[in-house]
Amino acid sequence: MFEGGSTIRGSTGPVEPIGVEQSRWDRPFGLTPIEPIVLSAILDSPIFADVDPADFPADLPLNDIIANDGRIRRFECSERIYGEQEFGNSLFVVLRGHVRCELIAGGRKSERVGLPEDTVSWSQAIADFDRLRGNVRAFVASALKAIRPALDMQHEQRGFIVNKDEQFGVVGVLRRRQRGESAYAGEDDTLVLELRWSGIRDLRFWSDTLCKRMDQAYRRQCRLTALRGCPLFDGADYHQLEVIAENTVFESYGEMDWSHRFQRSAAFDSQSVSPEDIEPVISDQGERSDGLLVINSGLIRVSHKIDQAELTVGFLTTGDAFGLDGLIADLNSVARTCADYTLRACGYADVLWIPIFVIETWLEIDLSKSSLLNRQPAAGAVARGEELPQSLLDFIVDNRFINATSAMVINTDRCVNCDDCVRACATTHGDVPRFVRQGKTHHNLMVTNACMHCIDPVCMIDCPSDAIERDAASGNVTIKSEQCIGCGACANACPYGNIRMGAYAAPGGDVISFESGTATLKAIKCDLCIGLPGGPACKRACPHDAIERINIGDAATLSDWLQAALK
Amino acid sequence: MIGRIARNGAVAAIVVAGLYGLVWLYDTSLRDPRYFDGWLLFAGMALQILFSLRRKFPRLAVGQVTVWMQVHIYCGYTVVAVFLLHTQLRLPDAGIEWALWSLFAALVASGATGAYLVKVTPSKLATDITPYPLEYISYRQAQIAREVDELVVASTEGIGAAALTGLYDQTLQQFFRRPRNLLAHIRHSKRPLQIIFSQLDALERYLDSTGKETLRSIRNRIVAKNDLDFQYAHQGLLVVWLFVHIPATYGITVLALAHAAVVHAYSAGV
Repeated sequence: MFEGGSTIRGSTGPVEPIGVEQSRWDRPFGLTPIEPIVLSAILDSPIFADVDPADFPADLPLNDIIANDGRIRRFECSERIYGEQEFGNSLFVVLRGHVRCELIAGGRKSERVGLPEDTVSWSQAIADFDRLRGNVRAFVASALKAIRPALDMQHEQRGFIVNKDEQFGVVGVLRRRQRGESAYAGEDDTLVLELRWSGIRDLRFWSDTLCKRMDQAYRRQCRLTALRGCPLFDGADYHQLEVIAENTVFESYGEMDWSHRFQRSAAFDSQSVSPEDIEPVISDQGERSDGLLVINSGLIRVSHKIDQAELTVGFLTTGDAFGLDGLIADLNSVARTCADYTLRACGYADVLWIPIFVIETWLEIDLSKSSLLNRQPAAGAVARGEELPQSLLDFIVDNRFINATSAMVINTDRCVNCDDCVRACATTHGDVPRFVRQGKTHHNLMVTNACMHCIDPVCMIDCPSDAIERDAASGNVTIKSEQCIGCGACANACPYGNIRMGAYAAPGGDVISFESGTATLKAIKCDLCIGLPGGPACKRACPHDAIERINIGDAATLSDWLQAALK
Repeated sequence: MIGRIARNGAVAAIVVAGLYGLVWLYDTSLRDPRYFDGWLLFAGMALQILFSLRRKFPRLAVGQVTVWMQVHIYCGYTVVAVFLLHTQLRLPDAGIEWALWSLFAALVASGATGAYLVKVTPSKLATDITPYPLEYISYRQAQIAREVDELVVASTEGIGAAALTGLYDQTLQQFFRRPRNLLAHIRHSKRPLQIIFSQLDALERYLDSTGKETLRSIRNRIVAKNDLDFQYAHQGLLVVWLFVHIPATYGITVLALAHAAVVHAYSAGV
């Protein structure tokens, strides 16, 4: 066996000593597994009391899941547990005290990872240095910011209370997306159990009781956060929102783990399977002219039927509302409705259907919104991507590139195959590039096999050791090499084939073979050069301005880039 | 794009005018301006080499390489202007100076050629042909050659086999052995392919149905090999100019230092 540590080829950080096979719970969520006494108290609490341990297999007992995939956290009054817009990787259960959740007013920000805003340019770094002088002021400001929610809460009801034995943070973790609310401890010495994704996944799989309970909480919180995010209801207080939420229909379409089916049917090229065949209909053309559809999560194809065929006219992603203009038209008795289109879930989608009577009632209450009635319905603009040429729109929707928040696209009319991008990536990541400079192309646009940091990162679903996660602040999907056990679940699940398995390497550079004769592999993928000043090395290394990292969901940016690339 | 060219060109022109002004001022102080513009030229060339260093150390992240590339190109124009000033538009009169002059000319010519090629070649490569990396083309080519060899060997029993093997010996084997007709591909000429196809057409009537099937398979592989040659020719163009540009860079750096040492060794101190 080998002595000492080693590095993974392609990673800059240290990994486990070679020769020791890693397993799922080598690194529990907390510093150590939860103590048996505490664990017993947790299992006796109402949320777990009716869960039957016999439902769990012998090699995956309930006790071990909670002990290893959970951790206990203690908070003081008004201390922040998590913030709005943070990407969720865990769920919380209140064990002692209570928690205040504050909903975000005025709509959620767009769902995308932190590029380029989160990367640091040199000028930004100098500015940051200058900003260091204001540290004291910043500290005072942050302290005030921590206290303010508690003060505000006394004056205005903007959220909900989570009491002992109730769960919160379920929306962020189940959909691997930004949290729609901020959570603060309601009193001193508040204790919460935090469960990471892999534990939640197994609890849901083996216990119907817990699964139903989580789904119930998920749907309730989804309604509230989505409605709070809708500008139409930004004047509503929490109680009014609850009433609206009760009358709002929550619907789910498709499979949460949609990747495998998509990969199987990726024979689109052969024309044997059309994309529509695997996309469930949310709203068929001619239906649902009587309400507003809010996309809570997922990707949606908007199409228009022409004879027997469906022409894709655009797409919708998380946070979009569909049908507002049709609704206004209805309210104004203008003969135009949103039911002129068919909506299909590309993979999986959660939608909220707000019936027209709810909206009418609300407009009578909130007179400030009555100006909406005087607004002219927008001409034509019903979905994203309408400005794109039809073939390009089909290309990005059929291949589900609309999932990408930071796709690496190459203008093949400028690329000279110099491979400087690949070399830069390799140099930055211990001599192993994190992407392959090839991919599907449409005219001069190539979407390369580099991690796209998806809106819906399905690669995270099956990871047994929580090695792959979203950075809470930026949303970048990253792999913690030291936690990866090399099972390949993420690589198999990536719908775009953008995760590869790389071999361990000893410090000298030799690939390690264990006694079995096989090399130990770990997952490697683009991490957007997180922490590198200036952002992704690939983009910065291109001498011919041929590479861009693009949020394809933002069709206008893609269109602008392609136009600029033609010049 | 036009805007960027105009802006960068204007900046380069201003820099050149400024440098000419500086040299003129230096000259008015009754000192030999050739020392001054010589060192300006050397500084310009040193700046050009920084571009290569930036590419080699991506972790430095000092500006985007695309910006460095623009600086490299327009600084190149500036260096040419300073070179003309330094040489006073005269040809060299010593061995080392001839070597310097020739290397500089090779450097500028290869650089200008490279700048042109990287502009026009990528769009020429944007065809329906499946793209292969340059390094992989030889491997794929050898694969196709082996397949054709096996096809011909397998068809030696049939009617017309002699004609087929004859064509293979005389033409096809040469064609599949290595990249062919590169100049024709650069000119986008299909003439060499037409010649091979005409030979195949002439052969077809001597073959039975099995032989014709073999011929069809060979024809498909000829098309595939021809596509590889096309890519090899154009991708090669994107690389080949560097085989002049990079050695000339190293050569001129060494010779320029030697030139400076000699000049200062024999200078009168002005």
